[in-house]
Amino acid sequence: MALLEKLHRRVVDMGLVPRVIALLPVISTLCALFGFISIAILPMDGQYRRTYISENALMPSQAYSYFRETEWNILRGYRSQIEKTVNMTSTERNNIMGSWLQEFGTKTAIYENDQYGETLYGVMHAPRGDGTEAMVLAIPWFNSEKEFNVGGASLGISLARFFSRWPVWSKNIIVVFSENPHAALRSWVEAYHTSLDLTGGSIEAAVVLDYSSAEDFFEYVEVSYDGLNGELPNLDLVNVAISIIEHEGMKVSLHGLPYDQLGNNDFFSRFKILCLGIRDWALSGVKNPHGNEAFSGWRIQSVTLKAHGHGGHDITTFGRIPEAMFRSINNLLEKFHQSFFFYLLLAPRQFVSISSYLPSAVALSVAFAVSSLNAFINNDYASISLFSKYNLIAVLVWFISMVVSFVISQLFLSVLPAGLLMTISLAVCFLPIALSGKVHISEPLSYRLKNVAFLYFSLVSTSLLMINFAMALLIGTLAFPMTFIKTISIKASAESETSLGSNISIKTEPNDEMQLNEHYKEGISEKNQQRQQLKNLSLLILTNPFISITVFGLLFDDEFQGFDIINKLVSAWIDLKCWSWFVLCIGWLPCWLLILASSFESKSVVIKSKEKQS
Amino acid sequence: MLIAMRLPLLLLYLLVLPFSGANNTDEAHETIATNTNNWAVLVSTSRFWFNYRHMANVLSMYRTVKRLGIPDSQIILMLSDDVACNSRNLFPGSVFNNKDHAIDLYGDSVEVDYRGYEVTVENFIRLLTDRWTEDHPKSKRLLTDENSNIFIYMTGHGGDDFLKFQDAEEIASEDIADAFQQMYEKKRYKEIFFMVDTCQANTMYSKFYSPNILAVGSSEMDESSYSHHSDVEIGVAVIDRFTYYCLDFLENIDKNSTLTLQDLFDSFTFERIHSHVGVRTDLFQRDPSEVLITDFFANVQNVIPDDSKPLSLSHYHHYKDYIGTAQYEQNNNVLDLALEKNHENFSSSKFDRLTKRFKSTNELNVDIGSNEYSLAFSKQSVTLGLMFVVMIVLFILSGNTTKANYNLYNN
Repeated sequence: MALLEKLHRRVVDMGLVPRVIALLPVISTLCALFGFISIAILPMDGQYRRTYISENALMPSQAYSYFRETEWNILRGYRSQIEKTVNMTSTERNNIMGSWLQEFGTKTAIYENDQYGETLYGVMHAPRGDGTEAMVLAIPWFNSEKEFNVGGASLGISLARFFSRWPVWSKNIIVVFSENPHAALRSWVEAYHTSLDLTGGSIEAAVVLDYSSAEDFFEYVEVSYDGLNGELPNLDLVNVAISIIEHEGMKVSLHGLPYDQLGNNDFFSRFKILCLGIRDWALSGVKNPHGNEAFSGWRIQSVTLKAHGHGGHDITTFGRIPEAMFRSINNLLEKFHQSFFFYLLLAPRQFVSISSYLPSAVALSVAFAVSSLNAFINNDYASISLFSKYNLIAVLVWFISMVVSFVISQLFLSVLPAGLLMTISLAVCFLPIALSGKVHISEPLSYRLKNVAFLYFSLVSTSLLMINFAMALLIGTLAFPMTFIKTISIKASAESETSLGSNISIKTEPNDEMQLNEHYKEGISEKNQQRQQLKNLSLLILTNPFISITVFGLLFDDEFQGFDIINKLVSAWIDLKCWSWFVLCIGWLPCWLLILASSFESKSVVIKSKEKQS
Repeated sequence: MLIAMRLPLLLLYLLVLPFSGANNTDEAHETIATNTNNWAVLVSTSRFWFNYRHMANVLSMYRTVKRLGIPDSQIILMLSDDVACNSRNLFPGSVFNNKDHAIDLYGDSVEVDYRGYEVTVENFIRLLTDRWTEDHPKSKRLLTDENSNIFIYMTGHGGDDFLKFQDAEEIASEDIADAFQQMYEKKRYKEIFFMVDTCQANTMYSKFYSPNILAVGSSEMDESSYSHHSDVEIGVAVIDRFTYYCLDFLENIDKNSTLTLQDLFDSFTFERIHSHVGVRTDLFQRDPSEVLITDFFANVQNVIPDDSKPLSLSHYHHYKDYIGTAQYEQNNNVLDLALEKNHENFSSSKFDRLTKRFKSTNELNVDIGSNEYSLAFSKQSVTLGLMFVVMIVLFILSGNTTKANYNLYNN
């Protein structure tokens, strides 16, 4: 204790406390910078690890894959038939496929959903297994790009036929033909766990096939693994998929990396995959789902395999991936649990685990907490009592902004178009300038609003960073410029200025600090104020959740045009139960609204010395 | 003084020594003679489909010892037994130890004594030390004696000084060492050959301290034991390297083989096993180069002749004269003899009959016990008589000496 006391005395003697308080905005920025840097160093040698199969039972590629030339002929036959079904209704198509499945003893059923269409599925019971667990082979009739998945469907039926002739299964095999890889497949997965009669036990893993070309040859395989709401499949499953693909001689692409970049493995290639990975993880479900997202949330590990390019490997090679994966998953004795559930891939065979990347999001959320502290103590109103009217008003405003945000989020779920939302958002940003000179708030309130806003955001981001790291990092990064918005205080009357002076004189802070403050305050001219107002305006526009996410989508993702990211966010919630929309609306928007309110012109307030001292 | 006091005893001992010669030769005979029965304890401590190779290892050993003649009743086989009929097995009911599928290890009668969850550390220790409840079936016990040679083979996943049992518990090397000591104290073995194929296997025998144990392990500390090859159809590794090359050697052994354990040990090279095989011989009395493979892997049919009372032709003749009947010579069946005696007794008078019957029972007993009893008796009685005389003489002598000493002190 003596040591602590000594330390405390030393700190007081050196005057560290006021200095640190004065430096709080810098500390906040440094925290955020630390967050970005700690992410950026991950692709450096020594920071990441090589992937490995953690579960002994999996043994990928230990069994020889037999889906080869003989099956190719059968596949071709099915394909020529499937090609004719492009323009059929889904019912007709499913009936044909169902009759094929029944030919080799598969029990089939059709799940009908009024909203999303029919889904055909067949259950092949493991002849010698106990039938309590299942593996799913899912084939959307139309893939995420709305192309007819002819190769995938023919692979699906020929693989099902092939699987039915093997006696080695310890888990049931379920083949699913859904209309599309998102809502239709998702609704089937939900129905499987709630209402379907024909089931095959708990689903351990799912493989979604996407082979949209009718050609026999393809170039490389893309593996998609991001689940909804920050869930990822167990790293073991991803590793199994990647090791099998590479074992069969193909190249693996992650996050849409083009073929010519697949061989690269240097700092920048790893950094690129890392950033793309964070983007796809954060926007998973909002972006066009590949199909594996549909299984998220039921403890089902799933990946999508997508064939790209022309020429190189034949289609049976693609078929050997699900074959070997099923042989591998079939060996499992327990659920996937051995490997990581939270990870970032830097290359197909390189990853960082949660302990390496989490500090960056923590640092960001600390940055917001420091900003909140800064807004609380780094001004003349630090000593206002906790239950003063300013604090209460700030909390009240926070509550109102929560309600407003919630209403907005609900309204846009059903009626309002994205364009309107953007217009309103943009228009609202101009309110502080438009109303300057007309509407004033008191200066302490402005600071208290900021305090509450950043505190709330820090809380949101902290609670989010464990379950959805990418989302926490994304909104933290996009919202961080909010902390640079400064309170505009208009010149108070002369009397108040003198009283302000008297105020300062009774402050206990050291003289130089006080003078600095005074100097700063005096230095703010009308021009500076206007400049600050414009700066605030641009920051407000930049950090508006809807504008910000739209700009982000337009800049960093080719999938989004115009304002459609907003619509996709909304439909991701409606179709897939992806929370991203609510994270934006209820996590970010209230904070932004509070900052907006705080950026109105504010009048400084004379604090009665009595109140100050209390 | 003291020596003088002990002198009579020493003399007595020297005197008796020639007569107790028969006992000594008996002991000498035992050290030279081999065991009279062979037992094998084969344990696969692993479970689960991906540990197929451990099951194949132990079944291969089972096949080998059975082929060399150890009967099922003397093999204790402990394995989880979840492989042959596993739904993942492409060849249901079969276990192979090679991708050529030449030998189905599970094909013919396989008698598993402890299967599934019965393979526990407790059961293994109980088996070795034979501590069971009385209703434990005999077929599941290790009914060895002081003339038993036991081959103990263990395989599974191990570490420094431990071996995992079914992913649930571990046996420590000390546990096995203590179990062996109990076995030694209870005279449950003559010699043990302990073989273990697991990672860091050599640590498993490092704690042994009981005599007559020879141990071999597949890998030294901080070293892994590796599997030999995978079967691409079954989709698993089917055998471990150490066991593979053991079998490679043992397959050429038949019951008449003169190859020794040293030959087996010499066949282990790092190039083949990919780990450092360890052999521990310090507890073992014999040199491995003098120990036949068949001393442990086969069932010897050695009989120890009961030569504690040597039988010579002259004794036999003497006895023949003593009995004086040709019938005995032809047929020394106890029952016949009893009938004959009874017949003799029946013809004599009542008193005679009673005394004779008493006598004849004695004789009968003698006949049953040994055909040279009377000779031994006479020899022993003479010896005892002589001893008695010598003792008296010595007593007198020692009395004199003490008296003399007493006098000496007095002086």
